Amino acid sequence: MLTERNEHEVYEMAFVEMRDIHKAFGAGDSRVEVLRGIDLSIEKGQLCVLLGPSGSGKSTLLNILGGIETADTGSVCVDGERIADLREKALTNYRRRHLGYVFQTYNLIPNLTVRENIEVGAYLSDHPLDVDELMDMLGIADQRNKLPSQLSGGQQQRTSIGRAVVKNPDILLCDEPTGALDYNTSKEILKLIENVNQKYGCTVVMVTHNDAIRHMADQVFYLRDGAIRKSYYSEAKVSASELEW
Amino acid sequence: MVSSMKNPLRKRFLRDLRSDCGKYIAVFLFLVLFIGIVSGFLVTDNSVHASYVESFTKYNVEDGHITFTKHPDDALLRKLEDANDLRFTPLFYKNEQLETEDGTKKTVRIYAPRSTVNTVCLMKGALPAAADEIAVDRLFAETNGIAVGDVLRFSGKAYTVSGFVALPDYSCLYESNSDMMFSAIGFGVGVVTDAGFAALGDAHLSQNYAWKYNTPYTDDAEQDARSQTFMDSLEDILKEEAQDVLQAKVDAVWDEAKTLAATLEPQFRTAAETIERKVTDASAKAVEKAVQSLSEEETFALLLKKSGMDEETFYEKMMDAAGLTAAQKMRLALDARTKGEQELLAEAMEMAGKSEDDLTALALSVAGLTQEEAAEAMLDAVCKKKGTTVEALVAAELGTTEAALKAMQDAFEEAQSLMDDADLAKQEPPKIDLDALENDAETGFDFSFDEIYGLLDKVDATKLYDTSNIRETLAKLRKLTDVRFDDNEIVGVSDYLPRYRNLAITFTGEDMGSDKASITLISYIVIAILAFVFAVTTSNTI
Repeated sequence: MLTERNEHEVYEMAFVEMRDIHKAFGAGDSRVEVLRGIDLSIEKGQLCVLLGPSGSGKSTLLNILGGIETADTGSVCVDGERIADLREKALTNYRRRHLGYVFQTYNLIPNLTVRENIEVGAYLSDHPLDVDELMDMLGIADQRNKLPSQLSGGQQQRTSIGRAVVKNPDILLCDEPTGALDYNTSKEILKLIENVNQKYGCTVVMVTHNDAIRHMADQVFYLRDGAIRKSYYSEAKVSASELEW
Repeated sequence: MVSSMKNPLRKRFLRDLRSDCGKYIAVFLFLVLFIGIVSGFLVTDNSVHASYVESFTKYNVEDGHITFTKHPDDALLRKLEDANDLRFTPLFYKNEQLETEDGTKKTVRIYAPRSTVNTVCLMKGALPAAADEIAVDRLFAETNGIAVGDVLRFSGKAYTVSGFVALPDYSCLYESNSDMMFSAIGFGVGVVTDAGFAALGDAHLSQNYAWKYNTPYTDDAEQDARSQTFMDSLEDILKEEAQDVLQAKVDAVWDEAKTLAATLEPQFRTAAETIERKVTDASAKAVEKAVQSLSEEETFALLLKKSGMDEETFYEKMMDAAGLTAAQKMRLALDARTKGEQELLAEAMEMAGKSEDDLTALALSVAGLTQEEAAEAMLDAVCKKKGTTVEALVAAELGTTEAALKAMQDAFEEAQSLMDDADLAKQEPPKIDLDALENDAETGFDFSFDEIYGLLDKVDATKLYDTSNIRETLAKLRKLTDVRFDDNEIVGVSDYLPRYRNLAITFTGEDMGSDKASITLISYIVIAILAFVFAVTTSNTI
């Protein structure tokens, strides 16, 4: 619950605020410090990219933001709510209400059709978007009755994005959404994410190791060895369709 | 959450079933088959077990059986029945060897007809009607390839198989309750007619009795408690019975021993008297010889010495004692100048008109000695002179040695006390107490035969008496007192088995229980395997 003081803070805080996040795995000799004091804030509606080499802690940071993992120390506030304070049930509600998640490996339900997979997302949301309209937007309306196994990788990722977006989330978390896709399909997917960001105004946090993608972002964070080495607001943002790599 | 919307995840279930229908049909059929087998087995097992339990009443199965080592009389059986509130039924059997072609050992326990307890269940054919017919156990017959109409030979007698039977007290063919496993190949049971039973002879007869309690028990614990009581009373009653038998035997031996002892006593007395007389006679003879061996001078010198007087006084007293007058004394005094003492004495005796014997008597009275004292003194003197002893003289007189005589006399003294103790007439026969009896060596006869024989040996050594008649009586007595009890004389128990501990009866029921347990275990294992298969095959859709 928000206190008087917190309400005051909310007023000044960005949409996403992470303060002094530390995270370590293992114990004793095998203890690995993955995150060593991350501070970051993201404004509402921004498309934000987390860049860094493998093992730099990007995915862990995304998971903490997504409420899948908890930080050892530090605080995470989303829309003024400290998610570290939330209980298991409240955390589930938080994820359900505020978050959409897109994975590198899609994680679609194999024996549900494209439409039904998206409906699963809609079912979980209080204020879902229209499924058919979204499918049109994603370009998978023709595939609506196909099973995931009958789709290409790009179509599966579109469906996956559809399932995340149909919830009408505040934040769309994308973990290497183009990691398993070829150049052209990757660009189409990135374009879609950009569209979603612009059309529905949801905040997008995308983790990638593809340096070229930073050009489409409003805000870029460079991670290495568990710390943010560089962060900046992009002055000359380009459209996803214009990206080259 | 939008309530109007149904969870699309639900659609997966039907599609899952449809896509994997082959797998599910296989699992379903397997389950049906498996449940069918397990439940069929359990149902069969339960109904078989029910009829097994029912057979106890249907065939009036014994509560136990007991085998005696000797035929118990009715009184003993009634006593046991009354003490334990049960009834015995004779269930005699004979363990006979079946004569086989290849000589393999097969035992058939043949029973006389049963009418009340452990009644026979006929499986095939007919029960034996003639003396040369037998009905054998079905399983024994099947495993040994015996068919109805075959001829079986026991102890040289032929029996035709009239049918196959099942005996309720041998639902499992355990020959002995201590067997690890039963064997229907080497052991079987059979039933013959009374005449057929008698024809087998009594060589292998077992005095077996089945018992049934007059009031039924409720559970195994009560059965066990009753069995304990039964065993205790069995021990007590059989011991009491044995004690009576043994006591009667001891009493009979005692009476016989008494008769023999009565014969022995006068034999000993005669012997003792004879020996004593011989010794006394010998002593007298020895003294006589000693006295005769001394000269007159030596005798007088001895008497003088014993009297303690000087020579003159002694003679004077002798003359006074002879009653000489003063004139005679004067005459003797005159003669004294020319004659010696002895001559004077002889003259004095002549004057007094006394014989030579009178002289000796006179001398003894003057010396103040009795005849015996004088004889003893003379004997001593002779012994001293010859360098020997009185005993040696007596022994020599008896024709034996001094040592043998001495040993015999000592032995007689000891024997006196021994004979007093062994006076059977004054004693009661020993009481048999089986509780106190540690082993069969102790029977209460307290004869020290070795000592008696030692005494006889010593008598023989002196050659004074022929002990053969005493030895003969003693030998009889010794044989008599060497009492040996034979187990055949008393009733014992060679087998005692209450029903709840009788594997031949209980194993079938227990075996069914273990079958049930194993089928249950197998079903658990299959359930676990199925659960695992389901977990693996459905994990990708969950």
